[in-house]
Amino acid sequence: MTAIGTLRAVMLVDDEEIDQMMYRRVIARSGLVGKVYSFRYAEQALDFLRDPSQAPVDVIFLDINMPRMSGFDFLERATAEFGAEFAGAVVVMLTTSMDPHDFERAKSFAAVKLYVNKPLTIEHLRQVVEIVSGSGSAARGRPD
Amino acid sequence: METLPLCHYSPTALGLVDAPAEPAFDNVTALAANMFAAPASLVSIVEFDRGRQYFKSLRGIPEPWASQRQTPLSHSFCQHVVQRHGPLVVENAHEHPLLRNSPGIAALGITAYLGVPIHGPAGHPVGALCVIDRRPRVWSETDVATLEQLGTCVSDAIHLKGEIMAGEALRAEQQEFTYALSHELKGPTNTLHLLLNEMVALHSGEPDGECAELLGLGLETITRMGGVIDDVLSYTQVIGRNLAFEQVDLARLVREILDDLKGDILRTGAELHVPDLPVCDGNRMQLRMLFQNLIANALKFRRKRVAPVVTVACDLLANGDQLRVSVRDNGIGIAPENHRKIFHLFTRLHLREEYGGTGLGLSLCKRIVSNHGGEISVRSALGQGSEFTVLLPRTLG
Repeated sequence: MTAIGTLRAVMLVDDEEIDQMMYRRVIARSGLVGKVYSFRYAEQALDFLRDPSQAPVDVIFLDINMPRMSGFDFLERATAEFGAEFAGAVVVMLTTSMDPHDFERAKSFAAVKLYVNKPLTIEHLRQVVEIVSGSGSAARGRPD
Repeated sequence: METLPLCHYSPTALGLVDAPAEPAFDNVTALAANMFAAPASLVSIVEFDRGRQYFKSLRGIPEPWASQRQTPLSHSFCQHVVQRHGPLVVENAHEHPLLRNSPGIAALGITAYLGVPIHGPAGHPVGALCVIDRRPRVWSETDVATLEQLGTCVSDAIHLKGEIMAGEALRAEQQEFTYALSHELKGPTNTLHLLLNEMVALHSGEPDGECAELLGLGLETITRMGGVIDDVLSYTQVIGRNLAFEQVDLARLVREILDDLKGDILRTGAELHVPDLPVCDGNRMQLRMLFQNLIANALKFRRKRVAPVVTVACDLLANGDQLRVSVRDNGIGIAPENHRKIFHLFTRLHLREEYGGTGLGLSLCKRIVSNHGGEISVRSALGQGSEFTVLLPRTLG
C-alpha cells in the first residue's frame, strides 16, 4: 500500500536530458517519491509498462514533444494496450501552453489528471500526490 | 467560415483601375457581347470621388475613349447602376428621362443600354457590367437575369483578387514578424551566452563543482537556442513568393557545398561520389541550402564506426524537361512510418546527444523544392541507408 502523502514509484518520460535532471532535483528535494524510472524515448517507457515483472507506477510525468513517439502517441498506445487507467495518474508536462486542439486531445485520455507547465515544482508534486491518494487509484496501477 | 473584414481594398489596390486588362474580365465582356449580339460591352468601375468611370474591360467603344479606357462621369450610364444598386434597363436613351441629355449617347454611341451592378470584396457596388446597342432595343426579363449572372462572375473575380491580396498581405506580415522576432531573440541570446561564459570563467578554479556543471548545461542550451534562431531565420528566407530565378551551375554549387563540409568529410572519413551535374534554372541561394542540407544529413546520420559513403546521382527525365537529383547514403536509415514526419517543422527522430539539430532542415528542403515547382521524396528503411530524390523542372517561367 502506498503511504498517504507519498508516491511509491514515478516514471519520467522526456527526451531532454536537462529537463530530466531538473525533475530529479525537484523530486529529490521534495522527499515525496520513492523510486524514479527515467525514459528518454516513449517506446522504452511503453516497454517498461509491458514488462510483467515490474511493479506498477503511481504517476507518469509525460513530455508531449518527443522524437519518434510523441506524448500523444504514447497515451494512445498505453490506453489501447493497458486500458484507460493504465497508471495512477499521468501528468502532462508542457513546454508552452498548448493550443486548444491539443488540450482537448490530452483531456480525452482518462489517465491524464493534471497538466503543468515546465519547470516542474514541488507544488506540482504535492498536487499530484493529492490527486493520487485522494482518488485511491495509486494502488491500482497497471491492470493485469 | 467567416471572412475577416480584411478586404476593404480600393479599386486602385485591387488593380481594377489604371491597370492592364485581365482575361477574367475580358472573357466576360466577350461572352456578353456574343450572347446579346451587342456591338459593345463594358466592365466599368465608377469612381465618384475622381469624377470618372474606368473601363477594366471594354469592347466596341470608339476612340478616344477606347485608348483612354475612361470617360468623365458626365458620359457614364453605369453610374446610375451603382447609385440604384440594381439593373438599369434603357430601350432608347434618346427618350430616357434620366439620360436623354447625356453626352455619353453621342460619345460612346449608346442608344440601348442594359447594365447590372458588380460588387467589391466587401459587397458594395463598385461599377457595372453592361451591354450597349446602337439601335433601340427591348430588353427582356431573361436578358436582365442573364446579364446579372455574368455580373456575378465579375464580382467573384474581384472577390478572388481581394482574397489573394489579403492572403498575400497576411503571409508577408507573418514572414516579417517571424524575421523580426528571430532578430529580436538573437540579441538577448548572444548576451546570455556572453554572461554564462563569464560565469564559467569565474568558476574555472572549481571545475568539478555542481555549479560549473549547471553552467555548462546552460551554455549548451543557449548555444542550441542560437542554432534554432538561425534556422528559423533561414526558413523565413524561403517562404517568400517572388523568387528570382537564374541559371544555376549545379556542379559548381555542389563543389562549394563540399568545400563547406570539408571538416565533416575529413573527420568522418567519408567517401563521396558526385557525377557531372548540369545547369538548371532556380534560385541559387535556395538550391544551395537544399543540397547542403541533403548532403550534410547524409554525412550526419551515419552508422557508428562505419565511414559514410555518399552518392549523388543525376539524370534527365521527360525529354530533358525534368531533372532528377538524388543523394544516397549508407547511414542509419529511416523507418517507413517516419517518412512523412521528417518533413514536418521541428521534427526530430533522435535524442540530441545522438543526432543534434533543430528539425528544420528537411522542412526547409521541402519548401525550397516546392518553390521550384518540384517534388522531394525519400526511400529508406532502418539500417539500410537513405536516398532523398529531388525532381526539378529544368527550365522555369
